[in-house]
Amino acid sequence: MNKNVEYDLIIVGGGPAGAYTGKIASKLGLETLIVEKRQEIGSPVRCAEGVGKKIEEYVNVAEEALAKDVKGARIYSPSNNYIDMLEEDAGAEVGYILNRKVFDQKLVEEAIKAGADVKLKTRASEFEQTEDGIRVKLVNNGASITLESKILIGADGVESLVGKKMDIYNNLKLNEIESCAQFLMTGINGIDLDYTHFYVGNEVAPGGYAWIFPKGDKKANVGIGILPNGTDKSAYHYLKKFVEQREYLKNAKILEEIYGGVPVASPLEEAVDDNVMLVGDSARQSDPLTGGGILNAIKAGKIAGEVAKEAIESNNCKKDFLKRYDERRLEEIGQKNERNYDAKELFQKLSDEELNSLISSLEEVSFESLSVTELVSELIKTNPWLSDEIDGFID
Amino acid sequence: MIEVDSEMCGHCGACVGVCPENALDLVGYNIKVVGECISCGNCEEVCPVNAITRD
Ligand SMILES: Cc1cc2nc3c(=O)[nH]c(=O)nc-3n(C[C@H](O)[C@H](O)[C@H](O)COP(=O)(O)OP(=O)(O)OC[C@H]3O[C@@H](n4cnc5c(N)ncnc54)[C@H](O)[C@@H]3O)c2cc1C
Repeated sequence: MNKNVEYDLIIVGGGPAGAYTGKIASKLGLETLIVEKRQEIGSPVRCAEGVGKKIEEYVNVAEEALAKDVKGARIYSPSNNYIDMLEEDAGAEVGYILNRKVFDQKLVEEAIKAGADVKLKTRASEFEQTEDGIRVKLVNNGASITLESKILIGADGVESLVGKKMDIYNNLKLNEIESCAQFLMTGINGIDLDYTHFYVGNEVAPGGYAWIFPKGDKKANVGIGILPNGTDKSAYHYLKKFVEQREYLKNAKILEEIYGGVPVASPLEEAVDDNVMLVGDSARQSDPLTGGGILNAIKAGKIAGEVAKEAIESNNCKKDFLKRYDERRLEEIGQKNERNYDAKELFQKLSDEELNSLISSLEEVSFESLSVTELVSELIKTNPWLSDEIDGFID
Repeated sequence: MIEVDSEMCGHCGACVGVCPENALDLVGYNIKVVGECISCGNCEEVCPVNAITRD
């Protein structure tokens, strides 16, 4: 090995994507460094913290990382009728509400236990291709250091400096990102906090939805996501309005304000280049219909960690080899995301009247699982005109 | 050019993700203009708290 190459893998970003990639790679014996520019893993939280129980196929959710095990989801039409989806099987999209800060820290802890190095308050700022890998300039507490790695992982979230600097893709367009605002509220009264609650409609949240994700003890994440190209007003404006209009939030108080952007884009065809792979939100892997990105970040992290190991073992970290990451992530995550992107494109065009009639068409339906796939496939069965616009939901 | 009101800013980085010129960066708790701004307005539109204005 060239003595200038200090690591097999440098991972930029210590969120779920970076931490999980780091854990898998370290377990497989790669010398791994995770750099995170924040001073604290998982904070500030930029998430509504909902995740399907499928997550347990990948990580053990510790008791402290779990805020609430929810029974079902309630979906409200613009005219305030609702349908309930009850959880009965493990195919759930939202079953757990996490404490993301604890969850993220545990993931990084697991990466450390597997052998990864972690540097906080360390921002990756420049990247340069070399013969043997990538030279990364890091700014740690204001001082620059340069390290070299065989493979660079961009797990740097929605900002995705790595992807942009390495010319893997251009930026998110305004119809490919949800602009989000959320309050963690306490003292909520008069709504069933064993359920998650979703509100759709062009008045409530143009191009997105509002959510209540309970965290136990009368607390919940109350948030909203909007597509910025559909309105002049900010997500914060819509959230304030939403809160003011709900009787059950009348006496509730805000404990935390959270802002963020979630990619809701179709999957990248290529998320690799010579010696580089993008993972998680930086590769636009969050679900375009729900905005959920935790599970996909972890799924992709597993693939990236394994492919990194294979590449280093084969002594070939070039794009032609790393393309197997693209193939595997497109199959395991991309196909569903592509389908959900089409569904998102359709739903955002619907008027409030159409949304009302779609939701009331499901009033008699009983759901077997709490999944968006099942919700959309039931919608298509009951309203066949939808199938002209979106396929792939019904097998 | 743009101006970021650092007291309104929620330092979430959404603006960084939509900047087509790669001209923004989130450094610590500050959004910094680090490249050439073309005044496209993407950052202004995506900002969840309206902390960005174009001059
Ligand atoms: C309001 C909101 C609500 C959401 N709700 C949900 C939900 O309920 N369920 C769900 O599954 N998903 C949700 N998401 C999406 C979810 O939060 C993301 O998909 C998930 O965090 C992606 O993980 P990641 O590791 O790819 O990126 P992130 O978690 O964003 O981590 C990226 C990390 O990289 C660091 N970083 C960035 N640039 C650099 C650099 N140059 N150098 C060093 N470090 C850097 C950042 O500081 C950050 O810690 C929500 C998002 C938002 C904004």
